[in-house]
Amino acid sequence: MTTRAALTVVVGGGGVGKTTTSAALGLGLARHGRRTLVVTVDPARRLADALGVRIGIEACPIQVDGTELFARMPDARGSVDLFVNWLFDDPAARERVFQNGMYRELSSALAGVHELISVAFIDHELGSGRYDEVVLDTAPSRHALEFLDYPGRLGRMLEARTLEWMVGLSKLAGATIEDRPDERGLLAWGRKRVGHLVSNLVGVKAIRDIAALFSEFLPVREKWLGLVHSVERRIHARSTRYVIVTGPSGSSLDDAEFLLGELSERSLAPAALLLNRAVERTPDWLGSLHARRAEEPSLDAALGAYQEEYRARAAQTEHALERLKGLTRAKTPLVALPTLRTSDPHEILVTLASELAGTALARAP
Amino acid sequence: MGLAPKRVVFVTGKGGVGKSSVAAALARAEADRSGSAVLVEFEDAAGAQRALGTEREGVSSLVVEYLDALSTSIAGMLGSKLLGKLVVKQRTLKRVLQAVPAVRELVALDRVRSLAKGSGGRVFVDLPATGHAVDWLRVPSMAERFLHVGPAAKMCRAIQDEVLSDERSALVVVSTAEPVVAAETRELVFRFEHELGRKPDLVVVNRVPRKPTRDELSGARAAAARDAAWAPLAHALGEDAEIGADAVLALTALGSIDGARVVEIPELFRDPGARELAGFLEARA
Repeated sequence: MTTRAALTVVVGGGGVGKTTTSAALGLGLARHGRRTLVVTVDPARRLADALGVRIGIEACPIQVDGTELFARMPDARGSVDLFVNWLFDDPAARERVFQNGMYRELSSALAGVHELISVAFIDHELGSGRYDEVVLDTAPSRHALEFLDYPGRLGRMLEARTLEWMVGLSKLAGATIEDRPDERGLLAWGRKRVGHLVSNLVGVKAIRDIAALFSEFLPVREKWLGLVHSVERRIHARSTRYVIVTGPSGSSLDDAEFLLGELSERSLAPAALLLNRAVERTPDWLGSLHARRAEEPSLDAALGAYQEEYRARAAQTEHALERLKGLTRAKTPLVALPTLRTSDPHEILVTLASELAGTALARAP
Repeated sequence: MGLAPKRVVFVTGKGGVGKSSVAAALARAEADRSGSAVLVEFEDAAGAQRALGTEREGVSSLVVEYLDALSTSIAGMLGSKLLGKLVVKQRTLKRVLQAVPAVRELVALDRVRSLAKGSGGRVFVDLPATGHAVDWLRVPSMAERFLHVGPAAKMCRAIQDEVLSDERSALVVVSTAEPVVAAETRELVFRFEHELGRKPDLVVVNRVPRKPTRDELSGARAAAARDAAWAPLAHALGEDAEIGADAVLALTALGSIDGARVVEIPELFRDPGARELAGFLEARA
């Protein structure tokens, strides 16, 4: 077996700066001489542009202050097709899948697709030997961790009995139950009865498309299950780390709490909790200038506004830190990252990377 | 707020912009006006419900659960509640439904349809974020094309006619004035137009930062020249002037969205309550 890369999975709700933080984590690892890849599932185009990364299936090198790391921002549709290409060695089967009505209409960007992409990329990149570290920046969703279960869920669906049932549906569609007396017993009757109802609901053509798509998966079942097992091993590997990114707002904290629950449900513990856009206290200069505000009446309103802003932000941060401390075990590192008054992504990257440099996250596991 | 008299109001936007809070505030304002409103969100995202907090008189808020919505939809098509439950409980089918895409979105929208027909008042839907919202609303037409005939295809058509059409529903897009977010919002609006033929009725720009005035900037620079102690203030104002200029550009871009009215909410550095946010929306509309 080739040496496999270590995996860092970054999760968090929307708008907390997850992609930037993931890139900063990656930059920190790269500075330690690790060959690092950051994979962003569901990237924002503008952010990709700002970082100089082309959205697509190729990994792009990024240079930050003389350090090189790689970023890959796959788009949903292209990745699913790529995945089908990988899964099916037989070109004819591949073509049938691409032409299938259900695949054509429903495969792009629907529930499960991002999970699928994450799974496929993780396994592929971890085993490629090209990288020492892979940072996975998951989709900005509470369901981000579902990618951990998705292969298993699909794997169960690919069990022979389920597939047979689906394929049987297409034959059943249009016929009456009594026409097919080859199965006996109450369970079989129930299964057929439900199958009959379903095929009546969605129609014969749809059932045939669905069944045809499913039956394509029978021959590649072993390959699929191999992927499932490989990903499951990786998820529970000791070198795999989970990082939750959050912000001070109530909804971001709700997301963090939810994701913590999702991790612990899977017997996983976070390597760190990162609180972005924190303000721990009012800066000294503001306090002393506020005391001298009578000297510059034209700046009174600005000073008042900053005073109010920092008071509100610090209160929000304090509340956030308290809540996060209550949620995690004492030994889970809780890192407050500063509010940066800039919208330049490279500057943000470098600053965040140096903030993270002192933490255990910057070192290889 | 100009959204009347549409029966359903869909609220979406990039994650983290405060879309759930805006959905809750719109429902709050509606209940204050007419006595009742329905606030809907999906699965275990109870963000809108939380944003509503204790200010919930007149608003019935609910989180649509997948299996529950599925059995209701199937029961509706079969004309029997018992059969609906039976189908969902069937083990093999359950496995299939856990993995097959689009069913989730379809039955959730079917629930919105039945709520819109009910007597609970106008329905405010907190949709998933950005691109996912477009995918959600595209599902009925995609599924109809795929299914073509039968009760499920009929359900897809009913969702389109009764919920997704221009006459029946309004679309609210929430953004912030950050360049990255505004660009993504524009992209979202483009997708809504091109993939669904829908334009937003209202664009809410949340957390608009305070822009330092020219006098403040020059005043602070002059003060810093006299006494270096004022330099940090001049520096902070300079940075905020840049952020403010970015915000103005973002607002201009959002303002040019065809047909939509733009409402700005100032940055408060805290989470406003539903009624407070509703007040901002009403005052600035």
